[in-house]
Amino acid sequence: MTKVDGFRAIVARKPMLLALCAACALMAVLPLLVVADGSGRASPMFSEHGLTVTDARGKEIRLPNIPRRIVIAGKASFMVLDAVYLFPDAWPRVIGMVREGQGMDAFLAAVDPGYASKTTLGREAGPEQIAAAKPDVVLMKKASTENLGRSLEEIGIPVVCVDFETPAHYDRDLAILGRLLGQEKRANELIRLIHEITSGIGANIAGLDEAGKPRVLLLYYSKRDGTTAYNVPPTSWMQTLLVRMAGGHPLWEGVELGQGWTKVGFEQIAAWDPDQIFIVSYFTEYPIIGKELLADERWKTLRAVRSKNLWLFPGDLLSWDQPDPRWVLGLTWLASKIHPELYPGLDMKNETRAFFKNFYGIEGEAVEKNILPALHGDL
Amino acid sequence: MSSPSSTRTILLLGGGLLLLLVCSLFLGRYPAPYVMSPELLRTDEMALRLVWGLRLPRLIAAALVGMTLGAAGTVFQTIFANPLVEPGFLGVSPGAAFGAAFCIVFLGNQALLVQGFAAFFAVAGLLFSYALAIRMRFGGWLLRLVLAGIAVSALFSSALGILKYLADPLSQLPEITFWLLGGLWSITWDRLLPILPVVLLALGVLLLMRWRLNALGLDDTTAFSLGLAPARERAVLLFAAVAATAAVVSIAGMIGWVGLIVPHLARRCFEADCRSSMPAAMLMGGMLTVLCDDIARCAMAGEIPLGILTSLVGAGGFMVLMTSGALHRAK
Repeated sequence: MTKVDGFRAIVARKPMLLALCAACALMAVLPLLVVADGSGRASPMFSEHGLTVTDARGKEIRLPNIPRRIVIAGKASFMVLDAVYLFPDAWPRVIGMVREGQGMDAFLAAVDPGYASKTTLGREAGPEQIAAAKPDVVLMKKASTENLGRSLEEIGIPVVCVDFETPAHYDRDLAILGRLLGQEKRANELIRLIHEITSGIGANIAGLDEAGKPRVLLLYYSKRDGTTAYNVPPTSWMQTLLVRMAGGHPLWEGVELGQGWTKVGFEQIAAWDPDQIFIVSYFTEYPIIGKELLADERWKTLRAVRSKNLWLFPGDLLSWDQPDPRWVLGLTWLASKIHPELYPGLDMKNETRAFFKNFYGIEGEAVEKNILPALHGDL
Repeated sequence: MSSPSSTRTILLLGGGLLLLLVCSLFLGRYPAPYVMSPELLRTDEMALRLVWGLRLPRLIAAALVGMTLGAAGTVFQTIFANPLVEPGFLGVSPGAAFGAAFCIVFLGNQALLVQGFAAFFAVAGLLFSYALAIRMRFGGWLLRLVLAGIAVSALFSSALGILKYLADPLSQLPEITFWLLGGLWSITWDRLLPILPVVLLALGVLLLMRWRLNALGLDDTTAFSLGLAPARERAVLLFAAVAATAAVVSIAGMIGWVGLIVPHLARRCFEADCRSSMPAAMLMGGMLTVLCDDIARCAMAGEIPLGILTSLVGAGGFMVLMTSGALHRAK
């Protein structure tokens, strides 16, 4: 039997095996073609000239021009979106975003007339949905760069990472946005404004010794699982940093179990018996919480409640305790409650007006009509 | 030898899978939802990049995931003579999920590292189950192996629960959740290429040994009398099935029900003859996963986790399979 006959015999007897072998070989060869193409990545879409930005990952991103079409995507992207809105000239350039996060949608709809016409992406939007918006650049937080960011870069869409999680991140990430948006002057102005507020508060509490600082407890009130739960934030989160910066001693620093909100029972709260308690809530209305806590016999025994130092953390359309630009308002308010003697006559409404004028460039009726009526908490 | 009609049907299935893969290349959300014109590949650079850089590796990954789970399910169900086992059995999938979560929480969310940990703990799950079964003091070998698998899976699941509690809710928990729900949306060539040799080699071994699998499902004495070395050959088949499963789970997360329902479906079409049912299970698994992944990436603006869809289709199909046809009830 010749070799050809032998092959024919195999084909006749094992056609299925051959078909599968061919399919496997095809699958094995396809990636090799990609490797032969280079690193398996698409070639750069843009020329090597133009704008260069070093993002929060330390990665250099080259763009041909200042981007005209910006998409903000990935997890917790509302923090990035709100930060981009600190650059009023960039508002029309934001063409798509994930609409999520408490009152963010209401806030941006109120301040930006073009907001409603922007593309809405799902929370789990993949690279294809984002590519369909034809962005020049996609902004996202670090947590999303490993999966979504990589896929976008694979198809030649530049990704710039910013984090906006802590005051230190704000300095770095505002500078990144300033460079990317071609508004470095505005970025420097924002950084100066933030430093003015933080260094003013820092100077006020500079003379206090650690032992003399009030023992503070900040609790996130949640009814998500049907029962009331109190949670403390991790040490590295903005809420803890704000308490420290405002001159308080965060009592929960030693109990951190995980990297998110950690539930604590009333026994632990009673064991701490803090000088001051600050309650944060994102989804339950404050009057309900206030009524519930003040009516609770157990809570009445706490030192902070007895001395009328139970405070509901304020906010406008968004709470002021989060890594949103409003954290500077939260810091000012927190410092005035932890050390009231240092802030006689502080008017948070005026602080709010100044904040929205300086940070978002909105004032007058836009603030009086859209922002001030939404103020809540113990101002 | 499988009958000519079986061979024809399998060839048809192979052709169907290839056709599905080609059609799926033109399904997606770009430039508009659902169908993309092939003409766009010539005129739109982004479309070409998308198809070449994202859709193609993803579709190959989807096909490999389904083929592997289908083949591994057939091996497990035949060797353990138990129609209710699947590749997640013996601590393989819970081990992979634990490994991935461990890496995400303590070492960072770097793709290759997560894949490596998932694969390592998947194999560790199998070895741990095996070692535990050997040390158990009662029951036959299969019963001991099943019990050991249940215990090891529970152990990994509880450890995974602790890791979820410790994880950062913004950055780490969503990654772990992705793992538990399964999905292919982050697949690119550089994630697919490292697992390709392992998966292709393991599938090749399973395919070449499929006729021996029929005999290995029998008791040791009978298998030995047929000229097989039952212990060694079962170990080779199990190792190949677990290695391929660990590799695909490491890139796709937990994809449920494919490994359970597809072997049943293949046996329904080709009877309990692994010579035909094994390649059929591979091809059917590939088709099911590619189809579910098409829905996962096209149906909505956001991605639907693939594991949810395969479980939905798998559980529904299982119910139909179990209740259709003639009644064969034992007392």
